[in-house]
Amino acid sequence: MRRYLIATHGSFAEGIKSSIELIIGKQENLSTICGYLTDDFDLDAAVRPHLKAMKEGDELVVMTDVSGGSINNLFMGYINHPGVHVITGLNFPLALGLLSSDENDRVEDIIADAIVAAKDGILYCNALKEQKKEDEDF
Amino acid sequence: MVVITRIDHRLLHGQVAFSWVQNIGADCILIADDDAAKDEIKKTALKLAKPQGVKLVIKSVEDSVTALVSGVTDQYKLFIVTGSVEAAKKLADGYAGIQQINLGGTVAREGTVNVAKAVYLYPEEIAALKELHDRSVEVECRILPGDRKTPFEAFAK
Repeated sequence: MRRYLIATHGSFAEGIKSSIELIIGKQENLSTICGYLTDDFDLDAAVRPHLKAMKEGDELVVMTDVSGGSINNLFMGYINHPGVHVITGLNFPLALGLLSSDENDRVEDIIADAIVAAKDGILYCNALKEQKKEDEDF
Repeated sequence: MVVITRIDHRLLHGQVAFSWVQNIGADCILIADDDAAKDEIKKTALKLAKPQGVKLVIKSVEDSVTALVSGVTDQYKLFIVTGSVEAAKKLADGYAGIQQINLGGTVAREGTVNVAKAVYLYPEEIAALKELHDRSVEVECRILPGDRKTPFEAFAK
C-alpha cells in the first residue's frame, strides 16, 4: 500500500490538496499536516501516527514545503525508516505528478518523474512565445 | 484509433489533460479547433497543458478530418478534443471512426438549454447530436471520467 503525506508550515498542505482534488478527484490515500497553526502544535505527535500505521511493505511518500525548514528537518530523521520517501520543495506539478502516478510503478521511478515535472513546470510565460517550439504532427 | 472525442469549450486544460488522458490511456491528443490552429499564443498555452509523454497535435477541424481519414492517426490511442458541437459533428461526419462523443462543457448562451452540469446546448445542437446518436455514436455528458454518464436519452427526447 502506498500512501501520500503532505506536510507544510501553515495551511499550504490542505490548500494544495484542495487544488489537486479539483483536478484528479478525491484522493483517499492522501493525508496532510498543516503545521504551526496553533501554539501547541507538536510536529512529532502529528507525524508518528502515519509511521505507526505502516505495515510491512507499505510505502509513505512525504512531500514537504522547503528544505531547511523544521517540517522537513523532522522528516530527515525518518528517511531510513523502511518505505518512507521524503521529497521537499513542494509545488503543484510535483504533487500532481506523484498523486496521479500508477501504484504499480516503482516508487523511485515515480519520484524521479515527478521531480522532472516539478522543475520543468516552473516557466516564465512571457518568454515562452520567443522560443517557438516546433508544432508536433502525426 | 480514436478512443473518445470530447467537446469542451476550454479545449485542453488541467482536468481534461490529466484525468481523461490517464483514464483512456491515450498516447496522443488531437485538438481539432480552427481558432487554436492559427493562434500561436493559444497554441503555447495548450502545449503547457500537455501531460508528459503524450503527443499533442493541433489542427483545424478540416485538417483534422483529413489526417484522420488518411490513416496517419491509426497507430495512436487518440484523444480528440474540440470546442463545439458543430466541430464535433464535422469530425464525426467526416470520419467514421468516431464512435463516442463526450460532452464536457459548453458555454451558456442566450437560447441554450442546460442539459447537464456545465453543458448548455442550442436546439440545433441537440438535433445535430441526435443525428449522431441515431447513427449509433454514443453521446454522453461527463466532466471527469469517474463521473456518472448522462446519456443522450436522458437529456434529449
